[in-house]
Amino acid sequence: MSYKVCFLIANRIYISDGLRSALGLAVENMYSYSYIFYQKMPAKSEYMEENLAWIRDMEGEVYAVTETMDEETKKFNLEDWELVEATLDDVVEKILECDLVVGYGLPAQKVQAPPQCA
Amino acid sequence: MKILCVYRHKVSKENEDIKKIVEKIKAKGHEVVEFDLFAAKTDDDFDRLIDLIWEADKTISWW
Amino acid sequence: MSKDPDKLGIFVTSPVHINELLKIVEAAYRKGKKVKIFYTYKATHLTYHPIFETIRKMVPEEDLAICVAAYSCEGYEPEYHNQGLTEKQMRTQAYHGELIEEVGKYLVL
Repeated sequence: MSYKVCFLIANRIYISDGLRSALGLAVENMYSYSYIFYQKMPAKSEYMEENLAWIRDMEGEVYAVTETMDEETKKFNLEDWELVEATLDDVVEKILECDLVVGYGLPAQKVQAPPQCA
Repeated sequence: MKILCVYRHKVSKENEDIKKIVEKIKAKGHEVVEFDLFAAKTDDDFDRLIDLIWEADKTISWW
Repeated sequence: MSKDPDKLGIFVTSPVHINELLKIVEAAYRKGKKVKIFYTYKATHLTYHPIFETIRKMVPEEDLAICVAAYSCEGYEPEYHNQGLTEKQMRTQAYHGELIEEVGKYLVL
């Protein structure tokens, strides 16, 4: 059976690893979909770009839930990372469609990360 | 479908977007059962969680 | 590996729910269920929590593992910082895939 799994990721620090984990299931022949809430994707890197390309090659996708994002975050995620835009209704559809739902990591932080996190 | 929503943190239970998602799932005719993991303390609480996981068709554990 | 309807797969992504994880494993055992646990990313720091060893000793070797790539990324030396984990318990994300294939029920922490 080819499982369908959807990852929900809300905390900035968990995005990269959540997507690595999503890719891990995609290469195990599972359909792997990830939804990023609230936060900006990490700075562009060859490693992350390859991971996203690989997820897409395996018929998975990475979405930005844009109604949870401010304009700058939305622009960065859609334009720089070319994430696919998704609504909360889309998330609901995918939750119902998927065999498993992975709420990955910690909740979103209310404050922006201080510069020391760079 | 019977869906178990587990809230790992109090902030997840209070999260407006999660509330919207849960309401939309209910509006589509699915049964949603909720479990406050952040408030679970006793063996009885955790026994109940195991029962709920096995009764549910799908479990969503929110951040 | 065939599907075991009485086994709960637990994917541990949160570094702050080790108390709850122990309670869940104990409750599952009380109910005659089995567990299979995979710790990833920041949750691999839990190897240094005293409860980690309690859980490790409760669960058969093949049913508990950490993501070794994440462990290395977090700065640990898998051989030196093994905390009693065997080579079979230092795994890749493929273990998560095996877990999903094997268990009847699934929970993320």
